[in-house]
Amino acid sequence: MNSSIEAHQMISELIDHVETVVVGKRKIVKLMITALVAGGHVLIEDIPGVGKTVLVRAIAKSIGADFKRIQFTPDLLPSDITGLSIYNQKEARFEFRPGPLMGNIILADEINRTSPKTQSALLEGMAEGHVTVDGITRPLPELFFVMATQNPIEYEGTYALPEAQLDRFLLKLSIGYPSRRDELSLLDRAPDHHPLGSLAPILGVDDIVHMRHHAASVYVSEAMKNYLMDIVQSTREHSLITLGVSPRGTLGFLRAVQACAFIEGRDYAIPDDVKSVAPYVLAHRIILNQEAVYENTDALSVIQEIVRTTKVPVSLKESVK
Amino acid sequence: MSERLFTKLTNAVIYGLAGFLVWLCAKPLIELTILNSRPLLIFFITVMMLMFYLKLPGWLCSSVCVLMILHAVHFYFFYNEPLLSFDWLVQLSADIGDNLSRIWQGEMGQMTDLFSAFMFYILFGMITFALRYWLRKEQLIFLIALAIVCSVLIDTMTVYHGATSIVAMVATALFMLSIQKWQLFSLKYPEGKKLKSGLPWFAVSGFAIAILLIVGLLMPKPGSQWTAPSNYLNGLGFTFFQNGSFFSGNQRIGYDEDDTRLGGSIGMDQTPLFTAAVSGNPGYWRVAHKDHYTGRGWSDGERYFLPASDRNAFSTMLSLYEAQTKTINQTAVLRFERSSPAILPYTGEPKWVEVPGKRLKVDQLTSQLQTIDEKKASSEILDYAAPVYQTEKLRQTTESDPEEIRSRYLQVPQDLPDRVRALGRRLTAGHSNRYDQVKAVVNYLRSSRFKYSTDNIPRPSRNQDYVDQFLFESKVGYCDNFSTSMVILLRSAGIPARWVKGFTSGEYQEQLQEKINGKTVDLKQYQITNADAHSWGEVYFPGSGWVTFEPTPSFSDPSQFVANSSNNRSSQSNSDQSSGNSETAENQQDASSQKDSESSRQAKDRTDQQTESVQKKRHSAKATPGPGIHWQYVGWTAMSVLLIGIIVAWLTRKKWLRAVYIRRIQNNPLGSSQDFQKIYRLLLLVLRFDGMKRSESETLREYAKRVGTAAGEELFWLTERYEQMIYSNNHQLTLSDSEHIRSLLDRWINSQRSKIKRVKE
Repeated sequence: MNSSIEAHQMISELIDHVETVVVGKRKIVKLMITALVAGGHVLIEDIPGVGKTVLVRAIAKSIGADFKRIQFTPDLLPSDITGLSIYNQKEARFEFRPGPLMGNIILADEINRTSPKTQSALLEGMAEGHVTVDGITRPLPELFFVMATQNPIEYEGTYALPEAQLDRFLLKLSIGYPSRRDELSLLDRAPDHHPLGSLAPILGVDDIVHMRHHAASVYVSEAMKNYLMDIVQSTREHSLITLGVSPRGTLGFLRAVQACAFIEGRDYAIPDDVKSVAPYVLAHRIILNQEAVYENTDALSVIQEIVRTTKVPVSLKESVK
Repeated sequence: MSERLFTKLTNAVIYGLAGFLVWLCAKPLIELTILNSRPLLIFFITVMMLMFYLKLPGWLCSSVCVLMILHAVHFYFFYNEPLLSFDWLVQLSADIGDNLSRIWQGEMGQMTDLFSAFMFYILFGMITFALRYWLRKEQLIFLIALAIVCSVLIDTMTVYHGATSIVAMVATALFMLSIQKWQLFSLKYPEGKKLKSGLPWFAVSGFAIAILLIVGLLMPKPGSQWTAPSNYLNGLGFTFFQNGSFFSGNQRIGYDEDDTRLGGSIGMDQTPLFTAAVSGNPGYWRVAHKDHYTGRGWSDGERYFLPASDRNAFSTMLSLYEAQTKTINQTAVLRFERSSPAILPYTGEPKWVEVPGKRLKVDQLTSQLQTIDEKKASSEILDYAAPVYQTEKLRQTTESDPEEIRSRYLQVPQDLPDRVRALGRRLTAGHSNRYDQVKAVVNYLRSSRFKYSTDNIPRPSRNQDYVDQFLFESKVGYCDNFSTSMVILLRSAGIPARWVKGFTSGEYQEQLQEKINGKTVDLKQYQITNADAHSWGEVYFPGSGWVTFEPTPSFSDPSQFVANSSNNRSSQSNSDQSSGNSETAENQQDASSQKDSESSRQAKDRTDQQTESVQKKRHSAKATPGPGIHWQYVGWTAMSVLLIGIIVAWLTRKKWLRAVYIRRIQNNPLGSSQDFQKIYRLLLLVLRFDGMKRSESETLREYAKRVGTAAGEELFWLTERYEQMIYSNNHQLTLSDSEHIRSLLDRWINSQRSKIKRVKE
């Protein structure tokens, strides 16, 4: 994989491949792969049954990665996901049995139904790239991609994720219902044959790791960085926002923009990259104030409004303020 | 010079110029209104501007502003009282309360000067705060617009001639704008656009300003195409604007309690006050006389009222005439309009006054008649004695004045200028008896030396005597000037005299019959309006009592004098009483209905002649062509061609600029990425002329997609190349690249040209 054009082709193929299973959600698939290439994790807040698991499994299978699924319940313990040491009587020593977290692609289902303690074990793994069990720090695989889902917060029996933990997810997406036509095509599928079963890998985990290195070197000009900062700054000064985007958010924003440019087959970022990822990177990182409630608006539309009103750099000279 | 210091200095100049603009706006007030102190106004503006420049907080600025307003009010209206006493503050607040209630009742015309001045200063303060806002926001254009609108209004609505100040204003405004832009270019623009030195900037802007001013001054200025708009305003009921004594700088002609400060112009106010139906000939309606002259006006003494309940009381308290003056008993009925103040005018010597439902009282000092509760009456029935003065008897008077009269009616202020005293003595010197002495003074005042006029009357300055200013300097005035001067001149000559105010006899309306005390009487009804307010003089003659004299030209003396006399007064007085009566009545009607006196008519004639001669001169100048005229024509033609050219160019800029830009896109070299960037921006401009404007928050790709094929499909490819130029770190343009771009551009230009053709077809 030498040029970005080549990467673009590979990723297009990947997306097409995944789309054979998950119908009509190209944009979401693309964003998922953006997060994968940017090395971030994804939070999906959506109602059950719209194909979250299928989507993740399709991606995992397509890149030949190890897929694990953790169903979060209120009684789940940290060791249930990280793994634990068990005494082997035959060899008379403790043996580490890895938990489901030790995989490449993890689906953390209904993450807000479990206790904060277990949540933080998962989030440690996401942030640090390793977990600590019985005092021993164990590294996670190089490709470690968490896709967490959560029920809308208003539902009963949920532990809302605190801001600091939400901040660790690069993107927050919502899959939504498929269109009528797509759903009709779902109905036409043979009942005994699920396309996921026959999905063959077209890329390797190593390819993805390579892509990550390439994406991190995508060029972002001074003007573009300023444009990015303008948007971030606006979230901190906006009249409807109590808590703006953190510097960690800004860094994630940059990574997402780079990955987006990379997926589009460019080795430089353009304003359109910023515009396309901004709502998914920023919306879950801000907290609106009471006034926004009165105005009946939500974080997503506030971010969209900010993006809509920020001046786009269109010449070389506008680089420095 | 550091940026900080530079900003401060340029800001200082801008604030200074803004202050100067305000001064130019406010300057007419000195001439037009009673707020005539130049240093005070300058002080006010300077302090405000200084505070704004130092960016002092709003509360501090406004409190200093309020203090200065109070000081100004004290300076103009309460200068007799110590600044730190509370008395005048109490008076001020009482006055404000009074006026507010008047406004509430819709009587805008009745506001006092004090209140108007106070409100005006508050308004002025508020305007300066608007200024502060504009200066801070750097929206100087609003400030300039306000200043120019203000001065144009003042120039149009009042007698002030503002031509020079408008020129100065425009020059200042342009200079101010140029400094502001210079500051902007020197500081706020990014490195590439910054100005290195101010010299070329000011050379260009100074040149531009000079040209503008020269053009402005060269422009023909037709005279006014319409009559003064104040007339319309008056007709529309804007009486406040015209008659408010404060704003137009005019006092109303009208009854006013306060005579302590006389002077300034007055306006005509035809508000009806009352009707008077009289059995005999109408006389002047007197309200009060005043005795104490301060040098600025007539002061009110302590009021001392006594109730008047029977005939005896009236005849003693309102006594005017002594044995030698014959009287004729008459009856009058007065009906007051709603707009009338609480006054009870009377004429002659009242024998009995009846106001339905009210008891009356008389002020001992001014002989003013009032109801006990000082409320307005609805009507008044008057039995009075009309005087017939005996000229011969008046001439023959030799008795000396009683001490009581001498002590009260010979008062003049200590600092009365000597030339006034000397004039009084000189005028009376050649005459042996009091009557002729008085006539000499009256004739002097009624002579053509003095002009009767109600507008354009200058106010005496702070240290000037009101009479002195009229007699020796302005020589233009109205009844107050004439009557006060007469009284003071007579007093200077040792003749007891006093000043009387009231109304002329008004305009004849109709004949009517009325039943009074069971008897039916024939009455003639007259209408008295605010414009009939008047003042005149009275002279004491031992044995005859108080005799009325009219020193104001164009007003005729209502008093009846009997006896032959050699002076010009004889035409108006007549020995035959009946014919004399009718003549005086006629005269009065004439005087009150058309105030244009002969003297003012003469003045008008004179100005007509002048304008005629000026026109003749202009004519002759045009008829004989001089060498300068050709140049003028050349200059004018060039200027107008240039102007029309600029306008046409501006209006058609889209077409020709578009063509120019397309040509440049076609012909510009495409050697480097900079060239391509320039070309691409030109391309965007062309599209903008075609109505496809990119919004600032739109990315180029979004734009290209939005305008779609309307802009030519090459745009999308060109946009991609341009993005690569500016967002990637590889700005190089290879030869094959530029060939590709050139072919795209050519195709694009062709598509644009054909599009225009399509549109044309």
